Amino acid sequence: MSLTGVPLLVLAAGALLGAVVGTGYGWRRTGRERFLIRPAGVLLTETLVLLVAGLAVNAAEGFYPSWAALAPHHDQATAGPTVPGRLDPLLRQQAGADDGAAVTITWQPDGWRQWHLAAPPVVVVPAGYLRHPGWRYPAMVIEDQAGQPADEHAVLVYLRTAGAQDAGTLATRLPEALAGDLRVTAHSWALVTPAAQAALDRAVLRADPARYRAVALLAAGRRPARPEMPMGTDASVIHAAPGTATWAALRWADQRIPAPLAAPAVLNPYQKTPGRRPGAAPTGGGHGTGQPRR
Amino acid sequence: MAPDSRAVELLAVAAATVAAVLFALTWDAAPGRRRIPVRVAAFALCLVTAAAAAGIWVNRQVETYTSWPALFGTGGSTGSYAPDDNAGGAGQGRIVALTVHGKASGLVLPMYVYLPAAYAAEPAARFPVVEALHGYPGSPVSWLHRLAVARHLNGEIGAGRMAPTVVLFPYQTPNPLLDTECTDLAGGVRAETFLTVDVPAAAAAHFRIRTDRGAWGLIGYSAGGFCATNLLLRHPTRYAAAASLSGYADPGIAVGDGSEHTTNNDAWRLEHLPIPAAALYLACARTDRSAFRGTRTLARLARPPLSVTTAYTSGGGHNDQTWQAMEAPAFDWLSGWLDRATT
Repeated sequence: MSLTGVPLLVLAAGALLGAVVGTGYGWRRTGRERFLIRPAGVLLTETLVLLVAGLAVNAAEGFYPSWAALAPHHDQATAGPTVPGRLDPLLRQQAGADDGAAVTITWQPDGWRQWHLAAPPVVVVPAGYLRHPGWRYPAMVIEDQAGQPADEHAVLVYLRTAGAQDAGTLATRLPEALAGDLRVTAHSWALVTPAAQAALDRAVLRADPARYRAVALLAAGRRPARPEMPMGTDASVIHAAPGTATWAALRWADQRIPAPLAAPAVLNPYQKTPGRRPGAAPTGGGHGTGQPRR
Repeated sequence: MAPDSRAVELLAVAAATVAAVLFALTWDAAPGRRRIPVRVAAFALCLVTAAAAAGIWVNRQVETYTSWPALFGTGGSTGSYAPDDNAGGAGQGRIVALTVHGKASGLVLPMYVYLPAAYAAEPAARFPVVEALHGYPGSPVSWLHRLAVARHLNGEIGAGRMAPTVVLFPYQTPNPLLDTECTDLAGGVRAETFLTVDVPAAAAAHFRIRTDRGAWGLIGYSAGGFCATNLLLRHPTRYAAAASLSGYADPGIAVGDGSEHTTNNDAWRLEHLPIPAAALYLACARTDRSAFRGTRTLARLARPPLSVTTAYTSGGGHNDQTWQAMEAPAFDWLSGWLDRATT
């Protein structure tokens, strides 16, 4: 019998009616038992009045749609699954004994030769990447800058371009390849490019609005006007002397990314006790972050 | 002994029981014509005590009146939650309280604040912020008591699933029975202004927090879920992300200017206004019909650059247990979209 169904409500109302009639009948008793019957009848009637009212409200509002919903829920968070990056073993090998330090590798994902690059990308994982195998990191993609410093909170991808770029590489192909090879998040990255590339950056941001939250445009010469970027993007033109530009851009972008985090807790199915799943309560379908569902 | 305490609830049940017994025992006690007023008085006492017991039980569920002055209208909506300013052991955040004197809204309301353990450990850091909004009827005390939010936040931050974050728990109305849905009621309470202008200003004045949009998020359950979504869509330059637990697509009240059908209706906004670049998390129980319908509507209407994540649980309903189950994943998700703490 459903908690919100009419049958239960009718049953409770019937019980209430019975309690009223029974109390009235018992009220006439004159023996000592009336001292028990009368208060018991009144209390039972009151309780049933409240029960009927409660059931009616619950049926209308759906606070507790099922009997199972009344049971105390196991509210301990359950860690989400962690998928290691394909390059994690290589990074560990590269790091050797010092697995707490930043590691730099040359990254050659499938298809990188079609990305119009002068050389394979260079990836720098932050210090602690290997010591936190459950964490996922935001990424920063840096184009055509001198030096390859590490960042404390992000995976860095250094690109040296050769020829005209297309938005698809930065918006789709590179992020997809990186997501398979390293533990990176799916959104809120930062992009560091020469200021002259603002138009391409705009196209990248429009192609995947969630991917890059911050864009640093590096100007070597006269400070250009701040380019117009899609709403929601934190953009800045950074004017710095050659040699310090990359540092300046990383320092700016590093403050505009989320912290590296372990996989979020999963939304558990409704269950009474840990590890015990009622048959009628399969896990809810959580969709990964990223593009809106339509 | 606050009106939402277990002791008061037990006292009320005891009073109702005693009243029932008295009613039964005094039925024949008075002689002659005095019987009638005695019986009427005893019956009225029965009704009042039973109604009081039921009301106190309901109040305990929703934590609407958390102090006697609030109940009797003599002290605003000040809560009874006693923050322990000296708490905050290893890895434990603490709850503090302050009063927000809203210059923009004209509202003066209390607010509770969760400070993560890192707040004391890193005195130079500035932290991201989440505004947590409660349901109606209700109060921020529901977050602290019934949803045990500090325990969940400590656990998620400790597990590395959430970054250290300052969480604000503001009141959303000066009158516990006035449902504002976090809007500026036409000619009335300016809850939206309070929450989006006064609360951030007060938080910035009192705490080491980040003030830029990328580090600010919203979360809410039930009516607070609508609030979180609505404030995100209406103020995308203030907030970067919001999480709605069992929220709705419309306020369900009359705002006074008809905007419940337009600019304060999230489904309408998504259909008719430019979509903001922000992130939205919508969670509810599939069995929570109204919230499920609202969630599905919003998810269907959302389009880039708004990023929407949906999460459903097949059991539960529209109740505390369900929101407790949703809390940790929602806070984790939010943290993944907010800029980190800076030094």
